[in-house]
Formats: sequence, structure tokens, C-alpha cells
Amino acid sequence: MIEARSLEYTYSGGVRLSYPDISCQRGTSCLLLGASGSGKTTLLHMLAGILSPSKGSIHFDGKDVVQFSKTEMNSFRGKEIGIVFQRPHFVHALTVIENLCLAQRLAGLPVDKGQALNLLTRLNIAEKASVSVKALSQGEKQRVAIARALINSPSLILADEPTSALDDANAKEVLTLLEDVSKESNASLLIVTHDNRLTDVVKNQITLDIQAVKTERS
Amino acid sequence: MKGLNNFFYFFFSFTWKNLFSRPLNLLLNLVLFALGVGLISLLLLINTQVTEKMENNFAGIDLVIGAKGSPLQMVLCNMYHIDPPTGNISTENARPFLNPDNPLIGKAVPLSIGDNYKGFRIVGTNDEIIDLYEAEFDMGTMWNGGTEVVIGSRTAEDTGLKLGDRFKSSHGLSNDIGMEHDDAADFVVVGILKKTNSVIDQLILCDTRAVWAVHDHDHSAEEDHKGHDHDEHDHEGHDHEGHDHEGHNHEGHDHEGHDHEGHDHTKKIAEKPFWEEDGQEITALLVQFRNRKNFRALNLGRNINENTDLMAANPAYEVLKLQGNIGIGVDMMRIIAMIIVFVSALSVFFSLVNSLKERKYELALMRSMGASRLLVFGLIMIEGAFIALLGYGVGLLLSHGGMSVFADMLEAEYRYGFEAWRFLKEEAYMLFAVILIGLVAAVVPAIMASTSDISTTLSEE
Repeated sequence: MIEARSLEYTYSGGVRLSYPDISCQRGTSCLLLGASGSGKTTLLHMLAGILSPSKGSIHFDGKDVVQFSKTEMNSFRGKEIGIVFQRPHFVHALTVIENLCLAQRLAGLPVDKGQALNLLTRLNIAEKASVSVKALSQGEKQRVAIARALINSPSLILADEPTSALDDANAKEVLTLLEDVSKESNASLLIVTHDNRLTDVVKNQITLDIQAVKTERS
Repeated sequence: MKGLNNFFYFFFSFTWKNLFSRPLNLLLNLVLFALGVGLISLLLLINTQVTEKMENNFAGIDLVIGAKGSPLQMVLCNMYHIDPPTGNISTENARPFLNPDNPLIGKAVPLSIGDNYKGFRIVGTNDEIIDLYEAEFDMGTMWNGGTEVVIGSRTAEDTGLKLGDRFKSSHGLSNDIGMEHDDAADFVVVGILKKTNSVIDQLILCDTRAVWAVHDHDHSAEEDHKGHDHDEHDHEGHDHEGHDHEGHNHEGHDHEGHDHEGHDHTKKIAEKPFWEEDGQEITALLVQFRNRKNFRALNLGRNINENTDLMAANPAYEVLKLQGNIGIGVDMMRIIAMIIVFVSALSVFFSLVNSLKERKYELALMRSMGASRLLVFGLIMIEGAFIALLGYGVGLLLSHGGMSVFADMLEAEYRYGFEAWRFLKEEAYMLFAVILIGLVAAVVPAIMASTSDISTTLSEE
């Protein structure tokens, strides 16, 4: 499970954000709700270890990852955290399956095409495996992005506004997919969103009532 | 094992796919690199081989003596066989240099140029030319006067002439139709030389008199007639002597006259060196000094030019002058090639920087998936090196391909063979230089890529 306590982040301009405590069990999902500009992406980047908090702790199954070195964090993130970004981006020169295998390589794991294909089958886009990512539709891209987040069987899946660009039907499908696969692989699913369509479905919700404090620059 | 696998993946397959995903960019960079590299390599190839050809044909020749005109033309004509003669010189004028008693001259090889067979020059000369070019016989023997010829290895290869083959020569130095000496005697191949890599490979050699015979067949017919006259005259003398009543005197005179006519006279014509014949011409002399340090030998050329109707030229000096003149053009071309290489480095730099704008997000993405800064840095660097390497490859293909076309043209024109697919060690040095240029062009983009803030990049819409 993931637990974040009294996280704070200070921007270079001196604006400091403090976040409420967050905790999400393995196999469950949790919505992090907040309006645009409330620092949702910053929180997600801190949870992913891309940004370091100025205060507070993040524990993965008891380990405090804030204390990790950059190299340790890189390796840990590659293996244990799957991220679905707001807009699905890929390495454009590669095909769908090559993008999935790239995630395996970069995490330092052995390349397993069979596993990648299974995952694509599970997400109903196996027929696009050898297609260039540039040729995918928006919905297909979102599925491939999910597949990439899941390929290394992470213990935490972070999704940044995964449904904001999708219509109702697709949004529901994507949410179902995310919930199903995270449950299957016993991962914690954290969805950062301001999409009200999701609030009716996911029970576990944390509202980011963030207090932005402008501190004096020393 | 896994690390090695990943290394090969990122530095070959991945880089390859990325470069080919922007084919127009790649093409521009390749064309620029290939042009620069190709031009430099072509200059190297031509320069090296022309210099070699020039030097292979020095053959220890200290002086070329011929008719007044352009000294360079005379050297090119008589040593390299690529220009027409400046004119002819008379045997009377050439005689002092051909005399074996001349204290300054070790070897003087006469050349009579003006005919060809299928574009291969027929050179009337003497047997010393074989030693001069250090040639050896592959088949057959030296000519023994008459119309016998010895041919070089390339001549044999290209004309298909074999031992015992007969052919008629053509007037002029190129293979023009309708210029055959139809009424002259056939030349007969009696010897074929081994390959020497010098100009003798592409010549047809015969005795000086054989060339004279072809050109002056009217004149030699006249000589025959004269000889006949002389014989008749002798007969007359004999008859007249028969009328003489002084037996002893008659006897002695008869014996002497008979000896002179029947044996000595004809033998004397054959034994008389060709240069002792008056009223004949040769094209030039290739001279080796007896002693190169002899002061008088060193001044011989100037003396000839100042005091005689002949012209003497130092081949090393003329060739050096020619290379100097060509060198200015070569230097210009080299500078242009360097500029092209510099522009291609700039082009690689700009296209990498440009590609980063598009790829910023995917590189940040890769880092979010566990790629280190070092890997991202290496990826961009290797792209620069890869473009340079490909450009180098295409450039060498262009230059050597161009050289093979060029070599065919030169061969058709001058009969000199150039090797298009010979590689020089300078080209290997160029490989390192080119890769270095590619890497240098990639350093700044690579630093930009590896130090960009992934959080900021990933937050951008």
C-alpha cells in the first residue's frame, strides 16, 4: 500500500503547497479530486518520485521512498510505479509492442514480448501490436498508455486525468479497465482527476483542499 | 548479457528507428556529409593515383631532349604518352647524345612517336627502353629489327594481340578510322612484357628503323633502287675492270671491289647504328646521366636550350610544376569540401536541436520510465555519430563509384588504368574525424536533452 503524510511542495517562486494525507491499499482504487491548478499534477509527480517534496514522507509497503537516491528512485519507479499521463505520449519512432518492451528495458527488466501481447489482448488491442503508435486513434492510444503503465506489474498505478479527453462511453471503459487490471495485479490505483463522471463510480475519494501559502523568499 | 543486449538495442536499433522516423532530416544530413566526405575522398584518390603514376614513370630519367616547344608537353608526350610530340629532331642533331662515347650520358633512349594501333602508341626505340622501365619478358623475345614488335601487358590485354599476330599501324596517336598505313608492311608481335605499372605497359615497342620504314616506305623503296643502281654500277665497274689489261692490278682491284660489294657493303648498312644515318628524324631522347653529381651533366639541359635547336627538360621539375598548378585547384576543392563538412556538422546540430522540440516529451517519458540522464545523453550523441557514419559510408560509395566512372573515362582517353576500389589509409583517418564531427555536433543537443526537467516537460500540455 502507499501512504503519504503531510506532504508539502515549494515552487521556485516561493509558493508552498501542503497536501492532505493520502493512503491507498493494494487492490483498491482512490480518487484524488481537485480543481485545475490545485497542484494535482505536482502531487502525482511527488508520488511518482519525479519531484521531491520539500516536507513529508511517502511510504511504499513501509519503505520511505523520499529518502531514495535519484538512481534508486529511477529504478524503483520503473519497476514499481506505472503512470498513465493525461495525454498519451509514446516514442513515436516505435510500434505499439516496441513501446511496451521499451518500458521493460528501461526498468531493467527482461524483454518479454509474450507478456506484452497478453496485456494487449487483455486490453482488446492486440491487433495493433505491430502498428506505429502514430497510427492509433485517441481511444487506442489511451489503452496502449494503460498497457504500458501495467507492463511491469507495478504495485502503484498513477493516472493523471486519464478520462478528461474521452467521451462518456470511453471514459467509463477506461475507468473499468484501470480498476479491473489494478485489482487483478493487486496494485494500488490512484486517479488524479477533476472529472465528475468518476466520482459516482469510485467510492474512495480524497479532496485536495490545498492551502497555497506564499512564503517570503529567504 | 541483458546490459549488452540493451546497449545494442539503444545504440543501434533504437537510434536507427528514430533517425528513420524523420527521413527528410536524415536525408539532408546524409547528403551534406556524403558530399563533403565524397569530395575529399575523391580528391585523395585522384591525387594519390596521379602522383603514383607520375612517379612510377620517372624511371630514373634525368632529361628529355626533343624539339623546341612546350617543355611540359614534351615530358607528357615522351614520358607519359598523353600529349602529341612537340615536333621531331634530326638524327644529326640527336647524334652527340646517342654516341656511347659521350662522357656525360649513361643511357639515351630514342623515341619515335606518331603511330598507333587501336589507340596504343607505337614507339620506335632501342632495346635500352626495356632496362629503363625495368621490364621483363612474359613471353617471346626482343625484336630483331624488321617489323617485329614487343608489346606491354595492358596493350596485350586490351588489343588481344598474341605472339605471332600481325597488324597494320595507323597514323596519329588516337584510333582514327581511315588512317591505316595500308601499303606498309605488317607489324609482327614477337614479345610480350610483364606488368610493370609503368607507362611501358601500354606501349607497342619496335626498332626505330621500323617506324621509319612505315613512314618513309617511298623513300626506302628509293634506297632499294639506289642500291640496285649501285650494284649495276659495280657490275659496270667490274666490266670495265675486265677491260683492264693490267692483270695484277685487275686482280687486286677486282677482289677488293667484289668484297666490298658482295659482303662488306650490305653488312655496313645493317651494322651502322641508326643514329649515324643522315636525313632521318626521331621524336625525342630519354636521357640518364652517367653521374648525376657531375656539374657538366647538371648544366647539360641549359646548354642544350641555349646553344642548340633542341629543347631539354628536367621531368621531375616539369612534373612538380604541373602538380603545383593542379595543386591550386585541388586546394580550392579541398577548402570547399571542408566547408561542406562544416555545414553538415551545423546541419546535424540544428536538426538534432529541432528534433528535441518534438521529442522532449518522449525523452522525459523515457526518463519517467527509468532511463538515466546518461542514457538520454548517449542516445543523442550516438545519433550524431550515426548520421556522420552513414554520411561517411555514402560519401565513400560516391567517391569510389565516381572514381570508377572517372577511371573508365581516363582509360579511354589516356590508356592509364586507375583503381577505383582501392582504399587509402587517409580514408580511415577520415572515418575517425567524421565521427568526431558528428559527436561534437551532438554534444549541445545531448546536454539539453539530458538536463531538461522531466516534471516541467511532462506537465506541459
